[in-house]
Amino acid sequence: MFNKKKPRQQRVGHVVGALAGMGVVVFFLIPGNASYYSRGPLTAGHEKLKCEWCHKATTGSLRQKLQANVQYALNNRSTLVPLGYRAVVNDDCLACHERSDDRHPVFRFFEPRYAKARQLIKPQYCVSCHVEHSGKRVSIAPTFCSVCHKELTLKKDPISVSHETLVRTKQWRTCLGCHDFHGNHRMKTPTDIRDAFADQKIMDYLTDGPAVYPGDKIVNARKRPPSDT
Amino acid sequence: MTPKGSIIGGLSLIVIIVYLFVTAPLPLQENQKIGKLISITQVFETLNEENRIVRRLYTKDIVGAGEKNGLRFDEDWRDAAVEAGPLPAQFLRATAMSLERSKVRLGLYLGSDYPINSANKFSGEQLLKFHELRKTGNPQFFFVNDVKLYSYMFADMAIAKPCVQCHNDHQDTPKSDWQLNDMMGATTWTYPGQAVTFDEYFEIMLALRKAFKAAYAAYLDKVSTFKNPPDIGEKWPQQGYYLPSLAVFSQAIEQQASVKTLRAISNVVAEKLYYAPSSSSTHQAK
Repeated sequence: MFNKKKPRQQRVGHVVGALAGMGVVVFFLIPGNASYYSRGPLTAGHEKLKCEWCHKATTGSLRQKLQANVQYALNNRSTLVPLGYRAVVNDDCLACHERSDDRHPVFRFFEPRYAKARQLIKPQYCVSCHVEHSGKRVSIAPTFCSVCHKELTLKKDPISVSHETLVRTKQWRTCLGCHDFHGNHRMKTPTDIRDAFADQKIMDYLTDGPAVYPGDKIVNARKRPPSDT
Repeated sequence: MTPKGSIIGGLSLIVIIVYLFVTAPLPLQENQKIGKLISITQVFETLNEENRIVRRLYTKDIVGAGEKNGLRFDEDWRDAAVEAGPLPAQFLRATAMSLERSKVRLGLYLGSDYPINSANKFSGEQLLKFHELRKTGNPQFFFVNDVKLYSYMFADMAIAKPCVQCHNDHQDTPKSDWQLNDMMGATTWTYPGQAVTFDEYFEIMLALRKAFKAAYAAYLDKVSTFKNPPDIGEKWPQQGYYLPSLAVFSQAIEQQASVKTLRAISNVVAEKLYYAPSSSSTHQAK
């Protein structure tokens, strides 16, 4: 069977198939063609990011990774090693988006008392709310404030409809109408509910629409991670 | 299976075994710790002592003395229109933020059962540990299972009048009868390992020192935007409208903290208080 001579037509077919396969691989490897196999559209503002700024290969050769995973299966190792790229982690995001006065920095949610919040929305990870390749700035429902602020009370409430009322009536979608979650805009927080930003405008902004919060950004994101400079 | 199939299968298995085990390249490292180990509880204790010293230095010698000599401190200190510096709790938070950006994965948090901001109120296991801390006065060590972090909670005391006054007078305070030396809350430290090598110990310690400096540097940056900034140099606020430079502030930390820290490290070596996996929750083994 192995020594049987293949007909000429079959050999040509194999060569053509191999060349076509190589062509497809080369096509996808050409810089700029990544969008053809990307999982979805990039977040607004991320269009010029290079894939490798977020998608980083794990260290070691393929053989070492295979061996490590076999050792894991044999209970001789405590962690699996991804064969290709490692998961995108907070440090990848913070390389460009680090801010010294973030109102809700991800690291804070590693504190023990946020166990319930971690169980519900995983706020300790950037990607829990900002799923890349979803075409949205924010991929979580805009009612997430309820997870931590259900008991919010202010002795001297400065706003026209009290926070207590908003919480009691579960109007969680109104939060972002006045508050910038990460606090990165030089804006004065409205004290009259009528001055709050319209829900639709907020929703558009959380998707890919124009900025809704006034004022300059306090810290602009880096154009590229420091590791690339 | 045909004899030919069995032969191919057997040969394939041999090739896989040779590929994976016999001619294996160096295995991938998995955070293997080489050398003597120190329990993370001992590391936390040293870190907390450094933090206590720096918190006292900032609260008493910068905020307390500064307010008497024309410096202002405000929770909105980051606001460009507010000519003020960070309150002690915000100084700690700035330190924690800087730690977050270091590679050591050390977490530092401040909380209370009566916080000014209700979002900072202890809950769940952390609240139970805080009750135990309040009852016994003993630091509480526990494991946070969902994020696999070792955690140590220490009392945070009202060490100076400004702590008491500010918390009692704040419009949103849930408790207005704090007194000097009350346990107002707790600092909680987290780390993803039960023990560290001496190298890791020093890395953690240096990261914390660097974070203190970064927090103070941020304050000095803000001061430089004041219309009438205090003189920054050798003098301290108790001498007038002055602030110590970053170098002077850092030197004060080192002078006050280094002896205790060195003593703690020396004690581990002298008493052979190395970590042993089978030891009790204090992880000390002679």
